[in-house]
Amino acid sequence: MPSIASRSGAGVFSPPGDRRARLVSQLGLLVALGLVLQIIEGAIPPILPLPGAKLGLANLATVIALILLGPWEALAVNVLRCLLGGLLRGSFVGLTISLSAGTAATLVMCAFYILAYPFLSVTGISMAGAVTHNAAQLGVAIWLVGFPGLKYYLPYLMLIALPTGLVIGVAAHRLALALGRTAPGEVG
Amino acid sequence: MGRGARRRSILGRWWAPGDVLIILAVIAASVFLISSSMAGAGGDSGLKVSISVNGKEALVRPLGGENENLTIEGYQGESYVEISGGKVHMVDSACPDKLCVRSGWISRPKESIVCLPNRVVIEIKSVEGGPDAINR
Repeated sequence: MPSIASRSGAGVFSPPGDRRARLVSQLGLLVALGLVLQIIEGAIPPILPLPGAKLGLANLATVIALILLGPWEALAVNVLRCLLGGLLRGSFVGLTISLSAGTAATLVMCAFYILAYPFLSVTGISMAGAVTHNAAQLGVAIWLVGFPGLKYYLPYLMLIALPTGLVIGVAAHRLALALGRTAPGEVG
Repeated sequence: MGRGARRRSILGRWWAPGDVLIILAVIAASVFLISSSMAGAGGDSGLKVSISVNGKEALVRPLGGENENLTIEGYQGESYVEISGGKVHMVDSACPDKLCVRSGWISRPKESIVCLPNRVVIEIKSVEGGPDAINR
């Protein structure tokens, strides 16, 4: 399901041309952005001593793909970013957790985007995605580790996701505005 | 351009009224989960006291529940066990050396008190699915 931007025939940050080539390059840019953000985030020491409670900078790429390109494009960026990021980190467990939780979060964000977008802003969609990501991540961790006691951790992870989702949402909103502005004639 | 005006209106502001609903829903869900897990753990530390005689589990009590004085029928006679304030100890036992009594109080998972002559073993175990030594 293409977004209004891609349905109208022109991409958001490129002049009109071959749509396919433009889409591939846009997806590639966003995947690369997500990977770089993931690496940058890995270099930041964790502020909170809670495993799984991180900013989720890489999710920025998915949110931007969602609002500038559309739900399918967001899913594509998410899956590619998780697969490549997992290969970069070289941890199978990390790949499993990040791919499943990231995809769950993207699906929820797509659903909210399609169903409730004007009512929910980018920030709200991002927060919903962050909460879903943390909950799904914990679910997969319980399934992989086989230790059900981890479920007592769920409410704290969900609460942590609110501020991180807020930050990512606001950042994605501003970035989307700026990206739009750099393409003359697209946003005006 | 007409497309430009449309795109700007689609992107909208950085927040919307619906966002507040998301925040409130998540906070409500978290508070509910925290309070329900605390209610479930109220008076229940997630640990249990297992007392076995001659290798067979004779009785199990929650640790951190009510204070209790138990009398166990052992191999040679009676053993008296006291559960109090989340700890357990052997008050007296039908044995000559009273090593079990001298073991003192135990309160953590996998700790145990053994009375060999009376074949009574007191062990602390974590309840399945509850918090244990790893996450507390």
